[in-house]
Amino acid sequence: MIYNKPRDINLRVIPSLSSLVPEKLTKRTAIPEEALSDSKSLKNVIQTKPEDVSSGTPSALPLDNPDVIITEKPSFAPKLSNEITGDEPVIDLTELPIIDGIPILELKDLTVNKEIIIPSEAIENTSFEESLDKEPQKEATIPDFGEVEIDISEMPDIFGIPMLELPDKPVTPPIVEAEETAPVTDAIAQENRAEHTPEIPVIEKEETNKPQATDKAAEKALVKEQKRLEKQKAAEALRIAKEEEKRLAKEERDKKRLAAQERRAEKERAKKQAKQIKEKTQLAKKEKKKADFASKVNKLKNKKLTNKARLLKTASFFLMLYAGTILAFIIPLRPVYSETEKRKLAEFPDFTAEAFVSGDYFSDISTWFSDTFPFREALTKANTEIKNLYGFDTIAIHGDVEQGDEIPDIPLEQPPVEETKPQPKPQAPVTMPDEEDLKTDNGDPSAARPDYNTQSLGAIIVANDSAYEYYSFSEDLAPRFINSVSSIKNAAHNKSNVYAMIAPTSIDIKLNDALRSDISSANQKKALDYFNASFKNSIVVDGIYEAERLHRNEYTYFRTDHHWTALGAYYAYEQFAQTKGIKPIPLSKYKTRTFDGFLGTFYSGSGQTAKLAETPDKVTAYLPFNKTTCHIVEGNGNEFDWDVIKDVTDYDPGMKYITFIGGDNAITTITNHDNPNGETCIVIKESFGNAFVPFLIPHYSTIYVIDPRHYDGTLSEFTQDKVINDIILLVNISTTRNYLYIDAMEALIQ
Amino acid sequence: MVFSSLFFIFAFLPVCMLIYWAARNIKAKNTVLLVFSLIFYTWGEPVYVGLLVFMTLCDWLLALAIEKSDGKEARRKTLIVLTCVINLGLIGVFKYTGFFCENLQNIFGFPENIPQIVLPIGISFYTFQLLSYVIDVYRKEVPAQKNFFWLLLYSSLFYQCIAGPIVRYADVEKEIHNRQTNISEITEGITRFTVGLAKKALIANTCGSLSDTLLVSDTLIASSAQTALVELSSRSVAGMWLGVLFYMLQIYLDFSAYSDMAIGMGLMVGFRFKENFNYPYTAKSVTDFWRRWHISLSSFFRDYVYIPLGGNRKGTIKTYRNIFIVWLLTGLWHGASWNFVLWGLFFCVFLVAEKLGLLKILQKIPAVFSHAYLLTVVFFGWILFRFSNFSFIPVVLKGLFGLNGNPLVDFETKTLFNANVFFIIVAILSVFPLVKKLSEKLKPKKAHTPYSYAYGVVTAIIPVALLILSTLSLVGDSYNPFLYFQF
Repeated sequence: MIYNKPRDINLRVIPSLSSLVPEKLTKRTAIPEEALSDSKSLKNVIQTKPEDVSSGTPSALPLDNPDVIITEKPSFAPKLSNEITGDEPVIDLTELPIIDGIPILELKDLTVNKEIIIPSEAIENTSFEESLDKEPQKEATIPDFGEVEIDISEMPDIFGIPMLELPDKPVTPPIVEAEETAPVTDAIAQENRAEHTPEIPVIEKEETNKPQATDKAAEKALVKEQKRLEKQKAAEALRIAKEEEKRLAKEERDKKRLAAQERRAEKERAKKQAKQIKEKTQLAKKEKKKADFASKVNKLKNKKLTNKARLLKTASFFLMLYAGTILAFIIPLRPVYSETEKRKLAEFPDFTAEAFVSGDYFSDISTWFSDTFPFREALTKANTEIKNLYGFDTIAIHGDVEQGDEIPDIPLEQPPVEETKPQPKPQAPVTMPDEEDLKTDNGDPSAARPDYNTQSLGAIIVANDSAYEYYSFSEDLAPRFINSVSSIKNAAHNKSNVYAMIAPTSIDIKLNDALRSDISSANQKKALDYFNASFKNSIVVDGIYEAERLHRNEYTYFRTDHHWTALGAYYAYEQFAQTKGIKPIPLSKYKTRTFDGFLGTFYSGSGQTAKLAETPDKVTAYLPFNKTTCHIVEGNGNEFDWDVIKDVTDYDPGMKYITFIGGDNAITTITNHDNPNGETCIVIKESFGNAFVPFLIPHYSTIYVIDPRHYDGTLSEFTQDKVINDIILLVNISTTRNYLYIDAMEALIQ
Repeated sequence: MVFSSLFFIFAFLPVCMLIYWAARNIKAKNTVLLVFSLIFYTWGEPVYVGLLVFMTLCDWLLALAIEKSDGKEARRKTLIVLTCVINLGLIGVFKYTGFFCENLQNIFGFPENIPQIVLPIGISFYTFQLLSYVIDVYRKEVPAQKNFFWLLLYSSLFYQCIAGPIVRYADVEKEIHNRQTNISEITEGITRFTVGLAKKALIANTCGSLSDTLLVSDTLIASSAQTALVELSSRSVAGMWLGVLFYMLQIYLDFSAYSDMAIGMGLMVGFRFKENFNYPYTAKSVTDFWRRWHISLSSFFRDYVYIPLGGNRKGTIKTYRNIFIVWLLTGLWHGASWNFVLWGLFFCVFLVAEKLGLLKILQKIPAVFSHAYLLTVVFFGWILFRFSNFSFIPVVLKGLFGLNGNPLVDFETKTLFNANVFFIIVAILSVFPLVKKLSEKLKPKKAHTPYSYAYGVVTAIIPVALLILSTLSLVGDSYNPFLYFQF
């Protein structure tokens, strides 16, 4: 039986019998709440007693079809279980989950013939009860209704759940189709035929040999006899013919009947076949519907899951976004200074009309927001780690490699006459900070963080545990540098010996030759020869490159920083001593002090690459054995005493090099009290000079260390009133192409 | 303010969304968007925000006037001509005066001083948007917007004002008046937004810096073209190819990322913008490429230039003339410089060739060849696009084919390649719709299985992961120890 419309559904509920094979339904039945209390719809309801349930036989079942059978809830009945005493499955409607006010009855995995138990409290209408009483008690015969099938696809959908509605009034089920009649078999037909086969009587011919004696009387008698016989024969023949006719007619009739039966049989057969096919297709359809429904249910579940996933996605995204926003607005969390980058981070701009109009105010706010983002150091470090995953980083190059210019083969002949206007700057550092930034923390030396001046770093190559800086030659800046150096003597009133020292950097000294030959860094030896040959009015200390090459396997340059170590500076000092004609103090005479955990400019310049962090540098300082005073004057006028070698154990890992004479300052005056009658010298330098200067102490009574970038005055003024025996210029090769330094030099030697 | 900046992501956008959701009705919501859009625009252009408002005001009045003059053909025509004159005139003045004067100077010698006019940001986009609005009103395709502020919302909406897509008024008209959002749209928007952000911050930015290292950076060209030229001519052959490849990737990822973010943010509030990029590097012909690249621009030119000129209905000669004009303008729209015009005409040549039969050939040969053809054409097109200074282009072309006397590979190129080899693979794969296809294949078929739970969780946290990674990358971008250090 197929019910195609919801209205036709008769939720028949009878206790299951073992003879009936239950069918599994996989769907949910939503019973509108009205159905529970509406008497109309429960008109034909039979109330049974609990004991009926337990005994397994309903006591009163009507012949017409109830919608629902209600029993009182037996206290022992578990809900939705397949077990009760006996075999009847039982559903307890009161325990059903309710979705949107509609109790949902899930018939999944349950057998068809169920008893629905609705507690009597659900039945409010008394007239209904009355009607119950009026119901005649019928005999307890259990009608066989065969299989119940519910066509789910035609059900209305509410919230994606098919709704099974109980009809308002009972619907008589369609008449059970009778089983197809037994086919008329040939055997039966045969039988029938045999029954009606006419018997053909055998007519025996009478043979009469009559004598002709009796004359006419006899003849007459004979004729009479003959006539009589003929009549008889004729009658007989007639009878036979009639019988024959009858027989034939009967045959005809039988044949017709047979044919009719045959036809009927055929029809029956065809019908049966059709029915079989229909059943088959119906079965297939049923299966498909089951599958479809299963997939619908699955889709529904998937959708629920998808919705959950969507909620998770949305929630997690906005949580993270707003967490980041709140973090970003916690102003105190924002860093002001970057240790690794050694610069002051952007500040929140001041509002001015012109900044507003030009748009700088807003873009500066954006810059400030990004630049001082909380936990900047940790985030950038994490970013570098991720960037390391981009490829193999056995050797990495950071920054843009400059080709630079060709190094001339012949030295610069004479100072060029024309005014050189500011040349284009390939390595363009950003604007120099103004005076404001030159402050230290209230002149407290221990907290002094040289927060001024900048120098751009060339491209860095990191190979294994060491880094090196690229060098390129600038044909525009070189002559300016050479001229500045050549003018030192004159600027110092021609009273002093000028020593010119240019130190090579580690890329040409320590990097292995195979790798070095691949790299397009300029040839420092050639550049040094060019510079040394071009300097005028100076005593050139030209063995430095060779000395460093000789000692390249020693710890003469830092791995994570662009400076040389004190040891590397010592070998340059030896060359200086040799040039000057004095005996260098042997290294063994010095006590040493080593500071660990130095991660210098290459570390930060390579984005704090982990490889360099694994093997930090050590800063070994050779402690002066003389009694010395070190007095520092900063560019902003602050003055204080300092140590030649400062204890930097507690200093930031990037700041350890500052142990040497307190870093770069305007003028650092070192007085050697053990040599009061010694010579005086000026050392014009940048940071390479810092590691070098301590070795000069024993040879001089006073050393003035000038960094042109921080000193505002001129050499001429400075040397006016002093006796200066030597002026030593010491820079590294990269400085010869640093326009900031060259500008400062030119200002110094005016 | 750019979408891929920390300020936008962690200050502007969250505050905007918060106030937006707090707004009760559509009027309040629109007001919020309008205010924030104006703030966004003022942030980048504090003075010329007035131009945006002024142009919108003019177009608002003109559109209303056009609608009122329904029936009076001559009047309508005058009004629409006036609109075009004003809009195109303004963009012409601000964008093309310098270009125009330079050319005059080259030919005639005057004017002596080329006026330096500031180019307000987004003018190319909002001018076209407003123009499309008025023309659509003229064509009676859309009713005029009575409320000036809502028209201003349309033209200044920060999602698309600065970097496209060029949104048509007809597409958003209903949504301006009535927007609904549901969880699935918001989720889609979030995914889109974070994908765009990751494309920009993680991939496009790196591609850009790698391209600058391998070729030359714009800052170097600006400060000294001579030095830049010298640097460029010393690049190795492989370095040159890689450099242009990275530029090709960068420009697609950059541009499509902005469109992705615009679409994503739009979805979060209920705007459904049309797609602007459809995996253009998977195209197999130039014709197909331009149906996938900057779709909103090519459809603008199609609807407002090509078709009004007659399209392909007025005979062969006129068709090719129309194509020529459209591509001339497309190139010119991208920048006020001859290399952009040439770039447009470069594509015009191939399009015409394809129309004349090349397309049929391309469809017959195996897909891999037509794909290679397209990529090659586009590759060389980008070289034209990259360098405004014409003297750079022959250097690049020579360098690509080893005619500069440089080695095939040099140490720096090899090192850079090694240090970025996985990244290159990811960047190349990102131009294909792989993730989309993969997520379709991997979708769970049955619910309530461990796999489906895992799938749900993983897809749910991908946007957050991308957000975090992008943030890391953006914080790292402002890290510049090369420019500053002590000693």
